[in-house]
Amino acid sequence: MTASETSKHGRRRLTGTLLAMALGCSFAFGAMVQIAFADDYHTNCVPHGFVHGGSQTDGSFFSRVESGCGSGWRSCDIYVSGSYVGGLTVGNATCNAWSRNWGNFMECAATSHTTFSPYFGDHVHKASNWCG
Amino acid sequence: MRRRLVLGVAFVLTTLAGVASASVLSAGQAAEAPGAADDAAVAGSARLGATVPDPRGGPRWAVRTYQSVSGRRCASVGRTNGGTAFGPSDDKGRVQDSPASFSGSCAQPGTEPAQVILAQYGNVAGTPRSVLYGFAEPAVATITATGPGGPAAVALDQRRTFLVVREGLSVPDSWLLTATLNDGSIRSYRR
Repeated sequence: MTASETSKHGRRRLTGTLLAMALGCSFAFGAMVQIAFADDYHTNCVPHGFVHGGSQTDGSFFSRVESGCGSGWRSCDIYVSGSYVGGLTVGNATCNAWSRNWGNFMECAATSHTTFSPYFGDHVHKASNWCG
Repeated sequence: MRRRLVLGVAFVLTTLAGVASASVLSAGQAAEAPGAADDAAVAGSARLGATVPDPRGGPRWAVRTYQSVSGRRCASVGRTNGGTAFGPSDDKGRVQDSPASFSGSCAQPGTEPAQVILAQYGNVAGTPRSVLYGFAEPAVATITATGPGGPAAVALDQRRTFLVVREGLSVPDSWLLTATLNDGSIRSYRR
């Protein structure tokens, strides 16, 4: 049995199997998007992500990957409005990119891009009051 | 027509179900929004270490170290005006002084012969920079570094910090720092 059938009018229509597969893909897509932009700070081997400073609007924030959980290099970068500002690459230390070390930026338009090789690849954490 | 509408609604609902499921599953892994309290600087412990000029002039680059309240050693890099000011420079070459507080990357002393950090700046007076910096334990006799553009002169200052500044951004693994220890053994660090 093929995944789809052709009606007498020549149009392909969905079978139950194909429909289930398509719905499964849309479910997975939603889950992946949510994980990719899940939250500003979470743990995968080590806590990492976007850290607001004392306020969400003072322009002081961090892109951070904490130390521990084995060796390997960690990177923590800052983007603002989609443009690269800068970042750090470290070994078994806290990767701690403080926005003030690069200048003054609009906090709500910033994202933290973090990597801990080989434990997790580059992914994005947005400011919790995201306005970008 | 109605069938297509039903299918469209079904796809939207299953996508939202995926989003909701991922939210529920990841909620248990959410970490406390960290203040990195363990990495707060001990008052009065911040010191400026090695300094080097920028390839295009302006304030010198410097390493700043401090001790954290948990006993870790922390380092950050910035510009210095030759006095006590330390931080990024603005478009007019003025150093924006910033406190040590939580500014550095911290590591437990003694876990590695050297702590090596690569900082990258997307825009310093119109061009990007790569800055390799850190500090070395007393067991380290000499260090050498090779990065984009070839070998770089590196010297340990009296606080055992080092610093190299190059124009341009660096791709991963493009820097190699080699530390020769007092016993003749060698440790290499890629950044």
